[in-house]
Amino acid sequence: MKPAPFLYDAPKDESALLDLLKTWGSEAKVLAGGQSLMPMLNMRLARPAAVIDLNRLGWDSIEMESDVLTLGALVRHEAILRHSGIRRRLSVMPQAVHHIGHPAIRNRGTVGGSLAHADPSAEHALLLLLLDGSVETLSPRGPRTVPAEDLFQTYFTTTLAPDEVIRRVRYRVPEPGSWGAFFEVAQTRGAFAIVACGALVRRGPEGNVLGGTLVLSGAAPIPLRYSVPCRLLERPLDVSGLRAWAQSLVAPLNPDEDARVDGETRRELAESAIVRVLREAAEGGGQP
Amino acid sequence: MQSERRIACEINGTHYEKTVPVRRLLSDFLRDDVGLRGTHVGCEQGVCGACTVLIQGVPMRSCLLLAVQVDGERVETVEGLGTAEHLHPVQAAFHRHHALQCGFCTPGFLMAAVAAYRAGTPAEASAVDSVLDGHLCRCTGYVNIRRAVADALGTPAD
Repeated sequence: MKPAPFLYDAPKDESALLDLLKTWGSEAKVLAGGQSLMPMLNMRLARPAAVIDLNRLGWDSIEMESDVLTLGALVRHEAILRHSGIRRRLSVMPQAVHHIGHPAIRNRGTVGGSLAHADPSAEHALLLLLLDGSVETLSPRGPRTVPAEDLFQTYFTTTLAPDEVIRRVRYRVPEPGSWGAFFEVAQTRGAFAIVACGALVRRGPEGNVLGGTLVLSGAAPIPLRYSVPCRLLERPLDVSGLRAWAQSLVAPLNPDEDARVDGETRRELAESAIVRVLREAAEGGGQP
Repeated sequence: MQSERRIACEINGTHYEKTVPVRRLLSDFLRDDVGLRGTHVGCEQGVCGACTVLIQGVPMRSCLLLAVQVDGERVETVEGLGTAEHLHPVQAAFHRHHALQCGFCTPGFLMAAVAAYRAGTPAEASAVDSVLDGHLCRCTGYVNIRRAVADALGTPAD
């Protein structure tokens, strides 16, 4: 099918964008990479009166500092994969981003678009929570910062206002010696994750464990973040302790069922994914 | 805000200017407005890969781009690769290895493979699989396509 009629504009600067947002507000959809919105327009699942194209604003910078990574909202997934600084200090990010779709999708899809779309199984949603991230937004009311834990409301729904646009995404770069791991179960390479899991173990200058974070997606309408008890991350690893903790995490969850995967299977997949990433994150890294 | 726009772009080295409805997909612009029907439309969701073209040399799904988004850009389609008399080395490899049957998926595979060929991607298995990733073929079972891409990548570009 083809998109239903809409009006279109591609502002070249932020003040033109703000004028459009002020005028069109909730009647417009904002277009970033288009790898999620265009299929919806093509199938007429979305029929906005207007489309505001963000691709002429130049929001594609990658700034790696010692403790913060800042991505412009229009940074393409593929650009993240190719950035050597991110690979070096935040290796869990390319590990996860590699699972997004396929190369041609990653050449166009963006981090801001993915976050705003808020697919609960999306790799970027998981990463934002895992890496203590936040988004800086723009709207006619001015800029604001929304931390990851306040961004995702439910399936395909963020807390952003209809006239609010993600401008930048920030992540905390963990201490040197820290290590992260990512694992996802999908039917085929690039398909939507059935269950995905990310873990980050932060380490101090002596290689001591400072803390651990686990994020699980596929078991709820948004990704779920947990603090990992430090004792479980000390080496040598107590794998049965990890398993017991994973079980305790998953037991109260009520994952959605679908034609392919029932709730019980999702729980089992979630448990083993949790153990797998925790082992990998805890066994990797060490003294910087 | 407009319902149609004049766009100017370069397609296979030729300059094109046209006024188009803003909702026209790049795939339909190429096929119906420009008359280049080598770009095939399979799913209009970005899954099948048949519509893949090169924008500034980078493979992208033309079914997920609006024609107005390539204003000022350089677009390459399968028609720009070569001719029957002078096949592109990647096309020649597909020919040698019988890497197509109905040919519907072929333009998408070719554009992805040409981008890898130009980038000097090595002919290692994982690199070849990355080229094939995101393209569905209902005829061949992929084996000969993989052979063709590996063969093409193994040959240094001029």
